[in-house]
Amino acid sequence: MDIYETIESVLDASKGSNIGRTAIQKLVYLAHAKIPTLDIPQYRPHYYGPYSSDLSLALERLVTHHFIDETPGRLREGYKYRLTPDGDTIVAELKKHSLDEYQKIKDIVDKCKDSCDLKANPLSCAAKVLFMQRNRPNGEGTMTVDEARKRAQGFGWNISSEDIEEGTTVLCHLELAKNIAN
Amino acid sequence: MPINFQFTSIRDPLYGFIDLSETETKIIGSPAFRRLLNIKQLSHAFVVYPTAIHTRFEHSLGVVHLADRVCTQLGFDEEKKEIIRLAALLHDVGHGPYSHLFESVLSNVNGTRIDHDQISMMIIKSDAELGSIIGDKADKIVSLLDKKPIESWEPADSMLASSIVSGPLDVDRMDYLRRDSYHIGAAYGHFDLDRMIRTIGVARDGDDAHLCVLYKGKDAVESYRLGRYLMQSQVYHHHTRLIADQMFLRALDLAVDEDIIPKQKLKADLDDWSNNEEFLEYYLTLDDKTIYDAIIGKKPDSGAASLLRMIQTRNLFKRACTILIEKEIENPIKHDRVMKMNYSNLREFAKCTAESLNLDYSKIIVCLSKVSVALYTDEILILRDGKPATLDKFSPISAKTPSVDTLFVFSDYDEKTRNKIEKHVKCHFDIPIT
Repeated sequence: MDIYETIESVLDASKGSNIGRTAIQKLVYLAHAKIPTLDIPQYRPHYYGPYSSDLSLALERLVTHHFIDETPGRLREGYKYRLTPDGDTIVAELKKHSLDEYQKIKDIVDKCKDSCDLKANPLSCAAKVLFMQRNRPNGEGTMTVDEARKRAQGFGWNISSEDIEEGTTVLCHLELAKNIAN
Repeated sequence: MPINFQFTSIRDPLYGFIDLSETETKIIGSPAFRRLLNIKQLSHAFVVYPTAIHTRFEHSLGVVHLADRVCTQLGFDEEKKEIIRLAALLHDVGHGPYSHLFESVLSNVNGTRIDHDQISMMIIKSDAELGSIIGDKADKIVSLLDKKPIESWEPADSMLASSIVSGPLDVDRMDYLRRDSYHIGAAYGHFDLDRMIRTIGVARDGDDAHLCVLYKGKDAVESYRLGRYLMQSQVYHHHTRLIADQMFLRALDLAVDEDIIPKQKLKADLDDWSNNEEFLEYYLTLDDKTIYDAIIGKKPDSGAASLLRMIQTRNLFKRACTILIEKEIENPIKHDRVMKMNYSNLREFAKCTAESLNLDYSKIIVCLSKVSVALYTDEILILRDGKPATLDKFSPISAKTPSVDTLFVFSDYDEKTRNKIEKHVKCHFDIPIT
């Protein structure tokens, strides 16, 4: 699946929830960690956690081509996204050739829904913790909370012990919390 | 000792004089930076606007000037201002021949997207002469350009500094809109720069800080956004300029395929920037002039050379087919496929079209023009009663509008054959022929 199909699958799988840009960014990041076959552009450590500018552009294009509907949320809430009828048609089509990947994405979204109701902050914390774990200089061993907080500062992320715990909970649900000490 | 930001003054048609520090003066004398004198800001726009031959060099100086003004407006101290000015000066040092066009070739050769920002950072970190001028400031400059926090700075200051050079309200765009307008002689990109800079402020959110414009400056921002949109449609995506750009890209592809441009030397190591000595040594020899000379000089009879000579003599391909994707392709599956077409998909489509019609692929180019309705991209924050909100919430002209994406087929064939091509392509997308 390419980045467009992955975004569309995430939105289809999260139907009924009001999700914004940050949640989409982080869900795709987590999905890629579980499904390496997804063709996802590179994520870089931006101020709000792992972020892909290419994903942002893809989302914008899907909106402007009316495959995704974008509606403004309340003040400071940002935009919310959902598939349009044309977007539904595309997802129905992609299920014909990529059903396995779609099911895996759906499973990830469902688990995130169970653990944090697809809220942006816990997803963002989970993505940050996973990013730090995956980009450790040594790569081996267990990352402690103290180490995580210290490494977060290097990325400009102000992350508390509670945030790390919240992120780790999501990662545990996804079975991605290897080598992270709670 | 205080930094003298007026060590040298250089005349500029937009701002009168641009003042530079001693370090900046040395930088603009370095070969890596002087290369920008031979890289046109607007690529092949000169085929439409003959005076659009200004360069990345003067634009970079203009960006320093505006960065200084924004730093002063926001009250940055001298040490931080120096880093922001240096990042502004060097932000485009990684551009290749004909600006953004060369990025496509690099991305193709390397199998991953490479843009000039990454190469700018590589050059800042690796170029020996630049290194001897900027010394240990290189790390801070690269962090700022890479949108990473600068050690020893408050996180909020790092965020703001990065946003000044690259972001929805950056000085890069402020300069190029006005400069491009000035040079082409069109008024589209003019906006109330002074008002905009004087109303730039900061919206704080915990440890975060965002550039914003005070409510009283929102009309200046509206004119800026409208200017961007009009410049996009009238200049940056003008179809004749696109034809010349696409012919140039096709020439580069052929030149790489035929090893006129050595493919091996275009391979960059994005994981380890220090491992790019051979790549940068070659890359820094390339500019608008040397690339033409290299291709035409090395193999004058090649297809690549022939295309470049056609551009030089303004003997350009012509439009065979124009499809407004959003309006004309009704089938959502086909619409989706076209929207996602990348550079190699488009080449493939051109090849298939040529084969189907028994025509020569070298005379057919397919390209996708994406005028992302720039008026509405990026969230510009407005500060009203101390609270930030996106401009869209206040603007009477901020309604969401689809971007204008157009599929073009250009060809060197006669009108009759171009009509055949149009018919074939429109049939492919189930578009009725009128």
